[in-house]
Amino acid sequence: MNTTSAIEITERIRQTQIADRVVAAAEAVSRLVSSGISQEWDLAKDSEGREGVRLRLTDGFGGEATTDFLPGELSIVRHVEEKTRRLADALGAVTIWQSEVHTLCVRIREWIRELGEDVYIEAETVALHEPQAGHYRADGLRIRFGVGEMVVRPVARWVVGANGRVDFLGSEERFTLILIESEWLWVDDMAILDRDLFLKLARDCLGLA
Amino acid sequence: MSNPLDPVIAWFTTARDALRIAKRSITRKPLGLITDRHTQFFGIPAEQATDNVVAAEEELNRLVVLALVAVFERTLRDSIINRSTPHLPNASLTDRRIIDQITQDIEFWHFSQRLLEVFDTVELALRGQVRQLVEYRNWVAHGRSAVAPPPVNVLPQLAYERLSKFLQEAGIITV
Repeated sequence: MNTTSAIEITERIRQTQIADRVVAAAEAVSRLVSSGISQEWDLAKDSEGREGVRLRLTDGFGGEATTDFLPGELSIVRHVEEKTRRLADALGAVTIWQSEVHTLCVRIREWIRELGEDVYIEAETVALHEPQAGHYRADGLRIRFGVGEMVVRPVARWVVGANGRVDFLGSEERFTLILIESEWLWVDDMAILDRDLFLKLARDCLGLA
Repeated sequence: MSNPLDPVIAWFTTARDALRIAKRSITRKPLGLITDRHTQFFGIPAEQATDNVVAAEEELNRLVVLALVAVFERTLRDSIINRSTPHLPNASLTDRRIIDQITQDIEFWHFSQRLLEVFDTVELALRGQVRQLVEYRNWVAHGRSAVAPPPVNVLPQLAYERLSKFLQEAGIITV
């Protein structure tokens, strides 16, 4: 049991009639999550456009995950606890996934330099939404070389048969990579992504092949 | 038994490669390649033509999962029917009618709740993944609701791999 996680409830919520219920729910969440995880509560609409509140959990490693509650759900402690447990699990998965994507981007920055001096690389932050983790962000890249452009875009953490998906979207080609046991594989032939394979795919994306 | 999913993934790969070549052709504009018989590409900007191909590619990715799951489902039902009915008495017209009724009954077994659960020697996690593929198949088959997003991210190659693995573990196909 832990009661030290940071809680932030927005002023917008405090001015509503459900403020007390949110405070009680936040206390229930605190008892379930570890001390390094912070909570932020704000008013939000869920994926079906219904008014409610959004809980965002963040950890000290840049990981984040959200879930939405309808006002009526906040009063059912068991329901809040169940959703919190699932969200905390999703947060752990997202944190690892974000780290894997970040490491991939670092490697790509190094590999792409082999194409030439005038490769232009821009870091991007990609907003993602998945049922398991709600809204979160992950690293991406935009690469320009000559007239060609290629985007490295994280697509999903939850993929049937893999632990994540990143797409290379080029002016001419698009390829999909999947993460299995900390290895990035090109899904078309399940080859492990190394420098040579990356450069081959990048050349196709940029229209150089 | 050979893998009944192989022909499906083979036509998918052919169609996917054909679309990739089409995309390249649009971008590189080889002289005379695109004529007025190619109604979706002729006389429109390259960007728009490329978008059309990308949209077709995404639709293909969804439809091939539908096809894979349909063949997989048929294979499971046939396997159960072939395993059970030969062991039933078949000496009279009544026996024959009982076999027919049982065969018809198996056709109505719920995919996720009954059909998959017969094969409980298959690893639990794999059964869960196949259930997710069935959910995705339902999402595609029922018109891909714009309100509800796809329940899970599915790639054709991984769907093929997971469904084939299930058929192997269930003893229906051999590698």
